[in-house]
Amino acid sequence: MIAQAIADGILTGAIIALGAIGVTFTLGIMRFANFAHGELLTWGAYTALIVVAFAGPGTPTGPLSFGWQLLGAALVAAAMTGLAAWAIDALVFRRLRRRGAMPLTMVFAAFGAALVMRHLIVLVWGHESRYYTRELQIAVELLPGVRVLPDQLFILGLALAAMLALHVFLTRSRTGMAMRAMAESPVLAQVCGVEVDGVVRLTWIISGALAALAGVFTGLTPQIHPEIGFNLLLSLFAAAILGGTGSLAGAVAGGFLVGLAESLALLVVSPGYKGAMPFLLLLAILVMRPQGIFGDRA
Amino acid sequence: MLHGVSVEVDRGEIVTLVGPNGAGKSTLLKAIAGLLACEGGQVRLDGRDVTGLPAHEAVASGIGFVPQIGNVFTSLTVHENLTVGAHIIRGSLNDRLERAYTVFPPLSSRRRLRARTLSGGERQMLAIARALMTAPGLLMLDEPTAGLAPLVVEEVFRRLRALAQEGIAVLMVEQNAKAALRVSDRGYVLAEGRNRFAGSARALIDDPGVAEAFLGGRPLSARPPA
Repeated sequence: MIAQAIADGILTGAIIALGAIGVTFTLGIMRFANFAHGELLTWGAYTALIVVAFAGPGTPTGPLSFGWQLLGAALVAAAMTGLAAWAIDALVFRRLRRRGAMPLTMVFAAFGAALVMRHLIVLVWGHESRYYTRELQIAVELLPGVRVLPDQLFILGLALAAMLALHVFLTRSRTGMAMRAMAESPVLAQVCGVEVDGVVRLTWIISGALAALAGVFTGLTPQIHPEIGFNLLLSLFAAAILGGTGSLAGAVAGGFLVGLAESLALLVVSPGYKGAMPFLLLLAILVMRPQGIFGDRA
Repeated sequence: MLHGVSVEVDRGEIVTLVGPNGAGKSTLLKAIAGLLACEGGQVRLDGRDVTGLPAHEAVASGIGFVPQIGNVFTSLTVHENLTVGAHIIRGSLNDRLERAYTVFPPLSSRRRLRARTLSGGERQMLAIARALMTAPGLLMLDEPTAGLAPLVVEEVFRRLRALAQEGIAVLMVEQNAKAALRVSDRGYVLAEGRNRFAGSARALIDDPGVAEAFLGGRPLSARPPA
């Protein structure tokens, strides 16, 4: 039982981590809590659905329920959602930033943007659940008593690869270093010749792309509906804050911890309380270690 | 707020701005660096008008700035700090990095360490080395010796002197006015956002009015021998 719960927690944790990276970047670089981030997951999931509608999910490859077409759809969704995130910044957040808006104004604007984004999805696709593929999958027994779907393992691998790629980008490339510099001190970064607008643009594109992957992965296991992103929002914030704002390693560790906490909690409380777990974790972090596990800002 | 302040720095000289808190010294540096908008006035560098350039373009035009607080990225390594310092430079940074490590040897052995682990003096060296990565014609420093131990203060001033000798124009703001003026060629005294005195560093140290009002005491030369 516990082993299965841990396996489930790791699998959802990877998806939460992908989404939390975007949240932590917006917190660290744009310095506001983007409550519309969950909708980027939803947008990503539905963008992939459009591609799948045209290209099909592909013939199942090996033990997986989908073929390469779905991977292509995920990549298209990542690119499109990255651009969408940037466009939303240009339409909403950048205008407010230029006017020197207070963080609270930004938060409310994000709520507004979230509602508009979610209802655009409902307008086009309606409330009913949709599926990328209706192929049935048989869970494989990894360890005695631990069963996972091949899709889930594949997703875990892809998610880890995306995080590793981002880590290499942030630590090895000059643009990545400039992003981390901007997250720590925008003024000093400007003095170094880093252009704020460029870093902001890149931050949105990366956040949106990773959110889209998280959305597609959530939709694969097993369905898509207009609230998939919104339902994850609290977990994303709990993970970002748990890890410490602005920290990639923090968001990843936070994501896995939140995923584990949620699935382990199911062993002792009824599933109805699952949604309360991120709240409880968040409260515990804020009381005990407000700067997060990896945070250095007091 | 500044009113009709005029400051000039030639290549190869150190110029220090002194004056009480709130005199507008830091404001002046930030305005030149492009961090604050100017309502009027002009910034000229080697005859080019660089007024009102945003900070990232001011760097490209040859202005290096070391702010007073938060002048290194503590979460980045020494090496990454220097790399970000050269953000506007395209192509390989190897030569510039090697040069920085040659000029500031203590940084070389710490290149893989995060800047938060450095001592105060090492941080200041890193901050200066970072600003020098773009080979600026004008280097501006806001309180470069604030909070440093006396021996380190001397070390920082000695390095600034050496930089000036290489032909860089150095403009600094210092609370530690007397010590700063001793290594400077010229100085300006700012008060309430205006130029109050200007002259050679020696003359400012010796001026009874300046000494009384801004340097905390009687002029050095008027002191009876001990």
